[in-house]
Amino acid sequence: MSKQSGNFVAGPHPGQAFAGRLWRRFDLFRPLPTLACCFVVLFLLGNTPLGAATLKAAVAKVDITPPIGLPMYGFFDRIKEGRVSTGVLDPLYARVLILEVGEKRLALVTLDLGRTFNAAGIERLRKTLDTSSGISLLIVNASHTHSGPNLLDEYPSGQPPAWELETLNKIAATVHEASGRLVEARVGTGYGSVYIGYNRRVVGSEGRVTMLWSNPGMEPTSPLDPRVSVLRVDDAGGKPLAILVNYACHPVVLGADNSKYSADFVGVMASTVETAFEGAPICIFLQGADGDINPYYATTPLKEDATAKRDWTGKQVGEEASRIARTIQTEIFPQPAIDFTDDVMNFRWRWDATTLRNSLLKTYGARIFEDHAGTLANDPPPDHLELHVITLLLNKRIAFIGMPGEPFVNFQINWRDRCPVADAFFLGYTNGYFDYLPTIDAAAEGGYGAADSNTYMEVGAGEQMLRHALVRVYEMLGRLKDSPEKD
Amino acid sequence: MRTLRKLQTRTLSHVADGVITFVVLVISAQGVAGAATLRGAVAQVEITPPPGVEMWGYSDRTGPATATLDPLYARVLVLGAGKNFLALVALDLGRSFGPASLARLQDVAPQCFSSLIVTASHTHSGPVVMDRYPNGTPAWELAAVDKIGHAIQHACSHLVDVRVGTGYGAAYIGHNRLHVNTDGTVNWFERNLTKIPTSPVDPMVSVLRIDQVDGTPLAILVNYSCHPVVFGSDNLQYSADYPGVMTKTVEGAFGQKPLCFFLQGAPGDINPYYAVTPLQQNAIRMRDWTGERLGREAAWIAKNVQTKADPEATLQFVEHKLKFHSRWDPQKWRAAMVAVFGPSVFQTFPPPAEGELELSITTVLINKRIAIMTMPGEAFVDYQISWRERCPVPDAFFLGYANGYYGYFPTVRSATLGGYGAANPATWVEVGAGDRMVDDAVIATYGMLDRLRKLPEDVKP
Repeated sequence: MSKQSGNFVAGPHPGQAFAGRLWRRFDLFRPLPTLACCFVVLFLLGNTPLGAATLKAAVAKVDITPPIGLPMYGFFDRIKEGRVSTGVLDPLYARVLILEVGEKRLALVTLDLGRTFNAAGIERLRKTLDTSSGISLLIVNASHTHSGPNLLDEYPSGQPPAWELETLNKIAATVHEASGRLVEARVGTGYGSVYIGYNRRVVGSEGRVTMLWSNPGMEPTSPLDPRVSVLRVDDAGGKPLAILVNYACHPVVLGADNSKYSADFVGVMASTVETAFEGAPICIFLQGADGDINPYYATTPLKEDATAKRDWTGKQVGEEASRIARTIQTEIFPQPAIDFTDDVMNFRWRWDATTLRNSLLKTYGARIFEDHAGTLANDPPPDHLELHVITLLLNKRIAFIGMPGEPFVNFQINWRDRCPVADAFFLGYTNGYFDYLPTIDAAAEGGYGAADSNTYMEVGAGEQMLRHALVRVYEMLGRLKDSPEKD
Repeated sequence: MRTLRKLQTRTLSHVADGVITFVVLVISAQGVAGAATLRGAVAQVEITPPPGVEMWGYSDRTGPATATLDPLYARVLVLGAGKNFLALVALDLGRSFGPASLARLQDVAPQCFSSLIVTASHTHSGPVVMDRYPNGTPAWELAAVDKIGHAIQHACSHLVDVRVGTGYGAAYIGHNRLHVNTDGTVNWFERNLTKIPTSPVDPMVSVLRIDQVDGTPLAILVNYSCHPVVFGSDNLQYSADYPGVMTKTVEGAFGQKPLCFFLQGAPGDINPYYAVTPLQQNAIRMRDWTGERLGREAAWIAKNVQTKADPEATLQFVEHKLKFHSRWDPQKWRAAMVAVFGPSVFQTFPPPAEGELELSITTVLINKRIAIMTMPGEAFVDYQISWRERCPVPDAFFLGYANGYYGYFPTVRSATLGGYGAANPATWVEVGAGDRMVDDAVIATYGMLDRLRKLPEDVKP
């Protein structure tokens, strides 16, 4: 592998990167917070007119299926019992979309993995892409498949496993290769709806929450967001390059009894779309705010034909996404623009961190830190948590928010309601992973991901992140002036 | 003419205590403190300053106050259960006092109350109030604070068992003064004499009635959102504006038995129809129309409120200080202040607007069902509506201008649309601060309802 493509080797966390050229640290609220919310890192690009610049794009896809024999992600029972992967049902991919306007180049990397890489991994990828490919803007989004390899924030050896380093190398090389074949692009959006899942937290009339872990009878639940949002990227001649599909649903049709790698319904969805377009474009799944949303056929046992249920689920989304994509009229924007921020917000722990750590150990044993709450593996835990929130505004009309965890679906609905541009995409599992982000109401109601140990960020963190991204979009639109009116 | 300042206190006879549990919650510390009944007392003291004091609210006044149209009052309610008492002070002033005077009030009777809310009606016909005065706190404010302190102490020593109830109605006395045009620009819509419908407005009149145990009304608290600016800058006489008329109307309807409190809500973008009526166009009559209309509705609501003694009375509160940064670059903000309000603005209106800002937010929960949130400034009306929609208990009161003053709190969207209070120098706290404060109050309310666990559901303690 060439030097430019950026090999990854095990090494110390490049913490100094946060003080590097691209990152400015603003410690506005010292001492650090009893009450959260400080913007620590800001990097805002693209608010200047771009003149005659054009939007360019390139796409790529790389197989990142790890070797068998690795611990798998997502079901604690599987981790606790030390079960490892035994085969491959369908390959796992990283998909890449590179966008460029003028001097600005952004890479969107989506992963058929349970979560994104840890902070060190993302930072290494960012630095490598900056050096090798001139890409300083990076979004890494995971589909949250529960049939991938496990990823941790902290590895017992202090180093990520070989497959993870190799995967980072593959992604860097793929991005580098794609960045050499950017073409003028046109974009368009479209919307539809599909029902493949349900809200797994059932709030009773007395306020008690019951978890509904599968719903093969397709009983109606709420809140739910059936919206399928599609962003289509074509070359200048109208040939589709990429079809991005944003939807919110846990990829957990396959359950803990499955020990083979699979992208779950997401892989089927992508194949369905790509086939519908005769393999021309790459279909990129963008997982939304699925913190409380399961597929109807969640955790179907293999002996009950789980793969057929996975395929049904994926095809439902894929066929709707294809229908939407076909109706989209892409266009070349006369003044294309990429506006992007990646901000770090500081939050308090929801629970007393040391007490939580001790309680987790007492309840589940040490292996709990291989499931969720990786940050808690530190003893003592950090006194606060730093979360990346990304905001992307494309051509001043297509907005994306990225949250580093599993937001509840109401955030996605709220984002769309409040976003000041017509197109509002929501990305969970982006640029970091801090487990569940329930709404304030859900945190009070309780249930899995709302008031158990799978959520540990201060209550209201999701609302703050959403508001932060909303303000960013307004800033990018030039609708928040930097000085007061004088009349 | 210097007006008479007289401490008026209403006391009530004692009744037998019930046996109930209550929860003390101060700055998120919670503990069970024993049995209690809800107890309360009210007091009223006149705080009209002498003539000659600069007046609040308009930058184009021709001089200081010359006289008094109607007296300005401070009304005090002390309410609590067990050892947990709230002192609520409602002022006929443009804003609440600054940190020094609030600290003096905090210290006046620490054994009597554990939380203090000082809220102002925002009348624009009162004296200038500042956080820090160039030549020290003026005599009128020192005297007013002393009187209020005595009123609190007096109320504390005359507590009686009380019962509470709430009721709601609607009154239309104002409009949204920021008119958003179809092209997204905003026009200043100061007066609306023909009562053209606007939005958003919140016509809801929320009433909290506090009775003695025999049903005799002790206090009627009226929560509504509208700028008290029927009088304009040509008026140089002290007046409570329409809230003074409103309180008189309510008290008159109840044979002067209860004390009526006006609790200003979130009128950051709401003006009365007859805003800034020139004196020569009979502004006094317009003030009276506005106050009487609201007062009659409040009285009608109050008469229909069925108060009841809660066998498990509680009063809880959470006091938070939230940190925000300034919205503007200090130099740009100062330049805009001078451009908008004139070169003398910092002599009468020097707010804390630079660097890190620490805002006090209090959330109160009475009997586990009546919530009150405060904001230290001029919140846009959508915040009041949002608070009511999101508050997890049925009764949600919103108090602006409470425990400090940090200018306007526009919604995020309003901040982008622009206009007075939305994007001019009268707003200086970071965009989104109001949303954050509502979030905080919702979370605090859930906490006081014990609906936010201390440990995750799934772990062993």
